[in-house]
Parts: sequence; structure tokens; C-alpha cells
Amino acid sequence: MKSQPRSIHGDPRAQTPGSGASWCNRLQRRRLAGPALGENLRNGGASTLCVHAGTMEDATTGAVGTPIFQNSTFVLGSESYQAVEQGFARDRFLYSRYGNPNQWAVQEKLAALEGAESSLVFSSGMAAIAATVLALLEPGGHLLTSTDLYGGSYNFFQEELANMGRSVSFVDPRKLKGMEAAIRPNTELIFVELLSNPLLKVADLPALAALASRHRLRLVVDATFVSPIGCRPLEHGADLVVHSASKYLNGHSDLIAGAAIGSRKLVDRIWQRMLVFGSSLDPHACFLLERGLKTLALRMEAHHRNAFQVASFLQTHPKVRRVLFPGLESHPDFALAKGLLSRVGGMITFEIDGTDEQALALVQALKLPTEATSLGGVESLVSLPFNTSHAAFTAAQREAMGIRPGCVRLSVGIEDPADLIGDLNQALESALASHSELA
Amino acid sequence: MKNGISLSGLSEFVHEVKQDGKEAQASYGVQLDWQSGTRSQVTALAMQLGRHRLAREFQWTIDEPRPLLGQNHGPNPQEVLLSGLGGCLLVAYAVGASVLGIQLEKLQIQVRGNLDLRGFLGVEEQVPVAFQEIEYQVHLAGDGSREQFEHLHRQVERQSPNRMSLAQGVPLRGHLTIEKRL
Ligand SMILES: Cc1ncc(COP(=O)(O)O)c(C=O)c1O
Repeated sequence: MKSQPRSIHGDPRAQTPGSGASWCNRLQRRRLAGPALGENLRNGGASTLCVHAGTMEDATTGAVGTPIFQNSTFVLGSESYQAVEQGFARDRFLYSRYGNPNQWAVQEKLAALEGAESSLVFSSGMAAIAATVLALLEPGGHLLTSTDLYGGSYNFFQEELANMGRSVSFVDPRKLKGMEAAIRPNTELIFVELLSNPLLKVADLPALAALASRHRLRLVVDATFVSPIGCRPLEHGADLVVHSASKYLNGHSDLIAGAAIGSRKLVDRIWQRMLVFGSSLDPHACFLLERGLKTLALRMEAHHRNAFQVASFLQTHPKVRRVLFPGLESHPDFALAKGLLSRVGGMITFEIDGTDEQALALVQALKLPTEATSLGGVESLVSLPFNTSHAAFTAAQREAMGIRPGCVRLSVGIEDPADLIGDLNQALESALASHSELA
Repeated sequence: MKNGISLSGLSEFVHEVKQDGKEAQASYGVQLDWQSGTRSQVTALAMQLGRHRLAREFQWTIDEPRPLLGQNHGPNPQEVLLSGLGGCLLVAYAVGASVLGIQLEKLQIQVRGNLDLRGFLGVEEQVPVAFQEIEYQVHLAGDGSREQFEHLHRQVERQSPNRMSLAQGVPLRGHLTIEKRL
């Protein structure tokens, strides 16, 4: 059955610039938030936004929830041709690499959660980071970033950017003077992670935003470890937020995706890069991400509560030398975290009173947390920096970064905290007992 | 996109700067380093657009032809000046045509200027040092009407920054720093 094609396939609010104006000042189109299929929910509590924001209601079927539009292309009409000719293709459905209702729905949910005008989903967190950095850093431009970075971002900045005509400096974002000294005449961008891996250092966003604004730079924040439930970086002066949506946003360890969120102006610029890099997110993956996001606020609450209990337990355990959880007063950034993060999330890093080999024995003795890289899923995941994220560094280099032997990274899931604590307790006993037997 | 310009992007920028004039502030700069004889290496400096910096990775060479004592490694300063005028005019024609909804098929501009080098050489007091005249010829083709093209031509005369700067003159100040010898 062929239904009557609607004249507009896309954002009904989108304006044309107007044709036949006498000069630039007579053009009519302004930037709007979105694109969206209508006015979207932007106000409300986090849980309300998680459940409702962005949902596409299909009037034809009355389906509850956004249907899956697993199509690569769309019927073209005069409206579509006009959008291409006049340069507003992002507001119309033309082809699913350019835009698709499932992408729009989840993008609108993310924009609402971050308090932003616009957002863009990608086929991975790295795709989001690459498109964002390349959109905002001109050839010849210089990037200022942190010494504490996710390895994939580090590799991209360190190994790839130079071949693309951009330069980079790695500095400690907590040392603002050093940061300022590293700014060059061609510096355009600061990129930091809100919570660093694995030491969970907190980036002082207001101070970094002030520095960026003083030097006319843009600030991009990777908030993967925190999620918008813990902090909305745009409210603290960031220009853009990026996420690996493979982590907390999706939350079920069954998807690779990424997102970039900010003003419509900047996200439009990133969209142009996304088109040519081809890193759009498949509609079915968008559906999964949208579904995952509905429980984000609930999950983050549980991650945070569990992590607090587990961290408090670890802190009192005699075989644990140090616990790093920004929600505990013992964390060096506790005060900063308290001011900036409404919830710290579920990441804990701790050092056992032993070697990396014993830490490996501990990980293998655990029954509940899965020995796997990644984080942010409903299930607890555990890994060791020395043989995963920081395997490329020598032991001495790791020490210099603050990663000492016996360092364990735990992504606390939403299981019952008593079960997690019981499991950690037995694993600590067995891993560290075998050491004393050997000795 | 008609003429390779996003009219929507242009329109959004227009409305942005209507709301916030700061976003329209652009500062440019170039640095010239003497290489040898009449030859210089030009480097575009980072520019500022609105509240943000924009890196510019462009370098070019300026030289004089051999009869004017150079080694002819690049265009000379007069050609660079004329191309700066022509390039700015071209932007204005292309943008203006897009605003008017004209699909361009040809846009070519020739810019010519005459100097009497006796002025520079100081051999004749009465001869002006400056260009006596600068003239440009624009060739346009496209789906616009004669009236539209004439309107465009008049608009460009009024709106092109480099044209206006040359036509009206701008305050120009030079400062000297004498550095320690190497
Ligand atoms: C902080 C952070 N940023 C970015 C990424 C990259 O995301 P993805 O794996 O989705 O490409 C990760 C993934 O591990 C991460 O932990």
C-alpha cells in the first residue's frame, strides 16, 4: 500500500533562508534547537526526561514508544530538494547516514538530559571524539589535553593528529598555571575527561572554562564516567560534551555508540564531519540506546549507592592499601567532586596491599564482577590498568602517573551491594592469603 | 548547495550576529619574514572570530620579478594587494548571487592597477607613490536577470570590505622595534 507522501519529511519547524532577499541581512532562517519532529520536552526531572524526552509518537499507528525505522533511505519531495539546495539537509530525512527518526529521538533525549540545544549520535565513542575534535580544530591548530586520558583518545591525539596537520600537548589539567603556559597562539581547543581513568581525578570545569574563555578557546569534556545524571558539563562552561554511550548511557554492555552534545551551531559543524567520516549510528542501535537511556537515572542512583557501600567496605579492609572513590572524603578531589557532581557514579579504583600478580589473582577469584574491560553496565566489571588500559607503559611510568602495583579498577554494577561486598571479601582473603603462603 | 554556499548557514550566522555583535568581530594578521633580496615568506597568523581563535595554516612567498631586482619566486606585493581586492569581491559576488537565488555559471574578475615607479624611487616629486588607479572587470553568467546582476554589482560595491578599505582608505599605523643584533 502506498500512502500519500507528506510534503515535509523532517523537522516541521525548520525555516528556509528565504529566496530572493536583496542582501544577507534579509535572510530569514535562524538556528533552532534540534532537529526534532516537533517541540521536545526539555524541562522536568532527570527521570522524567529519561523516560519521555525525544520519544517519537507515531500518529498513524498509535504505537507507544519510538518505532524502529530500519530503512536506509526516504521518499524525496520538493521539500527535500530545497533542503539540499539551501543547505539545511540536517533538518530533513533524506538518507539514514544524514539523519533518521531513531537517531533524532535518542539525540533529543540526550540533548534534554545534558540541557543542550542539539546532539549527535555516532557509531562509537571514538567516532564522536574524532569528529568533534576534527570539527573544532583547524589544520595548523593546537590541542591542549590531559595526561590522564582514555587510551583510545590518547592514541588518536598522539598518533593520528600530527598526520592531519594538528599538534597536541598533554598537561595535568589540575595544574592551571602549567595549562595556561602550554597555550600557544594557535591553540583552539581544550579536551579533558570529567573523571579520569583510572585514578578518578575530577576536572575542575569552572576553572577550565574560565581559562578557555580568557584565551578564546573551546572546552570539550568527555563525561563518559559520570553521565548527565552526575553532572551537566555545559552548565559549568563546557562548549561540548562527548560520551562513549557504550558505557553508562546505554548501560547494558550490549552496544557500541557515542554522542556529542552542545549548541546547535557546534553540533551542526560536527554533523558535517560525521557525514564524510561516515560514523553515523544504525537505527537499531539507536533504538537500543534510547531504551537503555530510559532507566539511566535509576541505574546511576543504584551504581552510586552500591559504589559508595563497596568503597566504604574496601576502605576498612586491612588488605586494601588505598581506595579512590570521589564520593569518599579520603579522595583528594572529594571537595571538588562534592561541588561539581551530584552523583559520582559507580567507578572505584583501589590498591591491594600486594603486587599486580596478586591483583590478577584477586580478579580471578571474584565470582560476581566479570573480568572484562569497559564499564558502566548493569553488571559489575573488573580489570587491571597494568595489563589493559595502561599496558603500554612501564611500571615506572605507571608509578609516575600514580598507578601503583596492585591497582584494580572496578565498575560497580547494580547487583545487591551485600553480594558484591561478600564476593570482594572472599576474593581478597584468598588472593592475598596465597601470597603469604608463598612467602 | 547552490554555488557551493550554505544559504542556511549564512542566514543562521546573520541572525546570530544580529543578536550578538561580538560574534561578528574578526581579526586577521599575517607575518612576513625576509628571506633574501626582495623575497619574503608570509605566514597567516591565528585569527579571531567572535569569541574564538581560528588557526590558519597558510604560507606563501612574495617576490619581485627579475627586472625589478628580485628572483621571481612568487607574485609581487602589488599582485597580492590586487588579489586581496579581487578575492574579497569574488566572495561578495558569490554570496550575493546565492542570496538572490542565482545559480552562477561563471564568475571571473580581472583586477588591474597602474603604478608610476618614479614615485617609489623618489625621482619625481610630483608623481604620486600610490596606485594611480585600480580597475576591475567582472564577468558573470548564470540564471539571474540583467536587473539582478546589476543589483548584485551595486551591492558588492557597497559591501565588500577590501574594496571599501581601498576606496575610502583606513587609518594605518606602523611601529618600529629595533632589536639587538644577532
Ligand atoms: C572515557 C572514555 N572515552 C571514550 C571511550 C571510547 O568509547 P567507545 O569504546 O565507545 O569508542 C571510552 C571507552 O572505553 C572511555 O572510557
